[in-house]
Amino acid sequence: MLSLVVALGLGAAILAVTGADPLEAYRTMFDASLNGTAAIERTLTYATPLILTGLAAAVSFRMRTYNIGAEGQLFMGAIAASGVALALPADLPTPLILLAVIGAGAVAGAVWAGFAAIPKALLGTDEIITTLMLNFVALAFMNYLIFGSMSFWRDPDRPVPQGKQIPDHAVLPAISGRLHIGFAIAVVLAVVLWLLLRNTTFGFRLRTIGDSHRAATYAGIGVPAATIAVMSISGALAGVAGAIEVSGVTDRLDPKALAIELGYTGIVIAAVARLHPLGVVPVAALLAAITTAGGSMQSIGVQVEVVVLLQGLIFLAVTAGEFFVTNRLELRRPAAAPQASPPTPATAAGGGGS
Amino acid sequence: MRNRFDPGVMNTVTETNRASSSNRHTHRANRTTSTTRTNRTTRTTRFGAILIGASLLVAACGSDDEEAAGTAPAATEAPADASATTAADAATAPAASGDFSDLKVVMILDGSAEDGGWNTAHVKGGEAIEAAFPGMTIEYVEEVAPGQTATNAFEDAVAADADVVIGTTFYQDDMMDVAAANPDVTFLTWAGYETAPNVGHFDGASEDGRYLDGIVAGSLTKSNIIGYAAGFPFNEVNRAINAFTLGAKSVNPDVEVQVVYVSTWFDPAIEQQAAEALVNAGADVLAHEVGAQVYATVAAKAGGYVVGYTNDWSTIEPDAWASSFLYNWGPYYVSQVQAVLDGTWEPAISFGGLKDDFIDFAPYGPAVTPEILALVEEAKAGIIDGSLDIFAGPISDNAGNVVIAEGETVPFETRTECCQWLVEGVVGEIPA
Repeated sequence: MLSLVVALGLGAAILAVTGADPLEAYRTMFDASLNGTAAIERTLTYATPLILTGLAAAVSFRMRTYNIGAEGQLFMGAIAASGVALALPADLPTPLILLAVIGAGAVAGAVWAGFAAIPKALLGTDEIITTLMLNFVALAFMNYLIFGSMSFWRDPDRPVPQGKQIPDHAVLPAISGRLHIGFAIAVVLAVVLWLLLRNTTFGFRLRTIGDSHRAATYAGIGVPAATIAVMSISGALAGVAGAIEVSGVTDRLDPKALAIELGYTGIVIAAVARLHPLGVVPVAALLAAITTAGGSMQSIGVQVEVVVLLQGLIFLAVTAGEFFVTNRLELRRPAAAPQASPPTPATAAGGGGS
Repeated sequence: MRNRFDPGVMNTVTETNRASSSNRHTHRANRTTSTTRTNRTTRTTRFGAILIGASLLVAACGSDDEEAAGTAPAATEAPADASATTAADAATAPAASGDFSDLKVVMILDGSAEDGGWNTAHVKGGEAIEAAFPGMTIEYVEEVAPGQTATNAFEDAVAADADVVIGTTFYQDDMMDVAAANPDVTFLTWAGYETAPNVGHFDGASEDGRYLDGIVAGSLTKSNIIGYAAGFPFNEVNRAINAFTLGAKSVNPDVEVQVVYVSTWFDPAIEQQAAEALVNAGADVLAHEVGAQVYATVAAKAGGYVVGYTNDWSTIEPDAWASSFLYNWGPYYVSQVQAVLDGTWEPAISFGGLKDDFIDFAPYGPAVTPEILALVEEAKAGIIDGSLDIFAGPISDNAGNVVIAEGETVPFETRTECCQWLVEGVVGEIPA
């Protein structure tokens, strides 16, 4: 709380120096992200994919398998989901269609993660590099489908390259206003993942591998199989994020709206949530609130660079505050005695304070 | 967006807007910040600088200037804004009269206002609006990606009491709901194709400008190879390549234009490679359709020339600088805002070229001789009076097929449907 006050105070000083009214800026920020139903709807809508990519990072990082590829897995999920949405006939029951759309996203994300997971499990290739590289491949593939070719996904009747709009029966129903049931799905998946990690043998194995790779091997846990499983789950979560964005927000395969680093942001969220699935939800919501407030700050004349700076300050303050609440800071004198020179009176006096 | 026609959603949105706009009236007097912002942009673009890092300092200095000049009439401001290149702005700006303090325009940009290209051109259009309606407020919202972020930005603009909201990229899918929920606000976006009672769109015929830049490039090249880096192979991009090549060939039949598609809108590393590859292939003039400044530096290093894409690098690499068309949105924006004020505004899709004053030019570089300029001026006059049709057949593509037969053309009205072919003289092909 104190750190938030410090951050807001520092931010106010920056705003004042750059010629904006700090109070007006903060009020606008609050109005745009938290004040009122519409503001909360837009914040939670933005948080939805971030929860899922945050979970994707959290589950794999917990096993010390570093899936940096949520970005690309999200794209592949979006591609598969929009393809299925466009291809399925309208006369199927709506729940079945939605299940197929989201399932397609999950499968595509898992398969894309599998391209990195299988070499990792069998040959020990570095998954950080492979998943990262696969992001660029997925982005190029998505751009190719919309901008580079007259693919099944592209709307041939539009002068500007755009994806075909998916039919209404493949669109996620709304909870309230713009907020769609994808948000509920994301929260449910967070709880499921938490239970999976906490209460199942699989979760126990995963945590054991994460804590000590060697101990896990010694205990007879099949690390390669677990690697493939965890990467698939991670990829599937990111793929679901892509499917939900297409089916809940963009209504079409829209590379410019999807390639906004949702996957990479998920890594930050997971790290701040300390890889706890339930922690991912509030952290994602916080980041979404800060992000959605950005545009409105600009429209009262705050420069975009200052907006980004403020967003960083607030996020840092809240997360650092949480760290100091859960950890106690102790100042200690260095245990080892200096070897070369004896302590001068000044350092001795300074060190004596703790 | 899925709820495009769901009245329940629209009600929610409208009510919130109403609530927040009434909040805002109470502290409206504090709105000097936005003009500070504009002033910064004016200063930086006037000097052609793209120094985002230094912008805080510039803004701090700028606010003082603004206070002094805050009450200055537009008459003194217009010539300054319209510097050498945009004389048309000043000419079309109506006489300053009346009080426009109730008028507010919000412009939503897909990148930085100081990108020195695409968005800077739109900001100059915004400055023309400001000059034409003294006392009005204009605000810029930068770095807004299409998608949900853009929808939020359009909603925020309405909540901030905008009368006219301008979007500088393809935001149509993101703003139609917002427009439907706010019938009293007028929306204009780039390259949209669906109008609504309060939604119009606009686009510029870059091919008119490209043809003239092609004449410059075709005259300057000694190796008869011109390099051209493009983003993605869609109609507008291909049409510009074709017009450029036709312009170059009109003065130099032996010229060939080597095209590479880099599959990005902005990526200095990839663009650097593309620019160097083109120079290594023998190009001594570089043209481009993507954003990075690398073409100027690479061309300068190779002792060649660079042709811009709605940017003015004449001060960055003065010796290598050849020419660039510029999108000139000012006259269009001013006419639209005027029509909104008069109550005569009608939704339209405005596609304009040289004759409509949508296309202008940056200052020409030192290598462009009076002889070359005479050729350019002649062609420009021809395009404006209709005697020169840049797409008049017969035209063959670079695979030898006749794509426009003798006596036929691509009429201006249907130009946006062209082209999925590259004209004879282009080396390179549209990726399948």
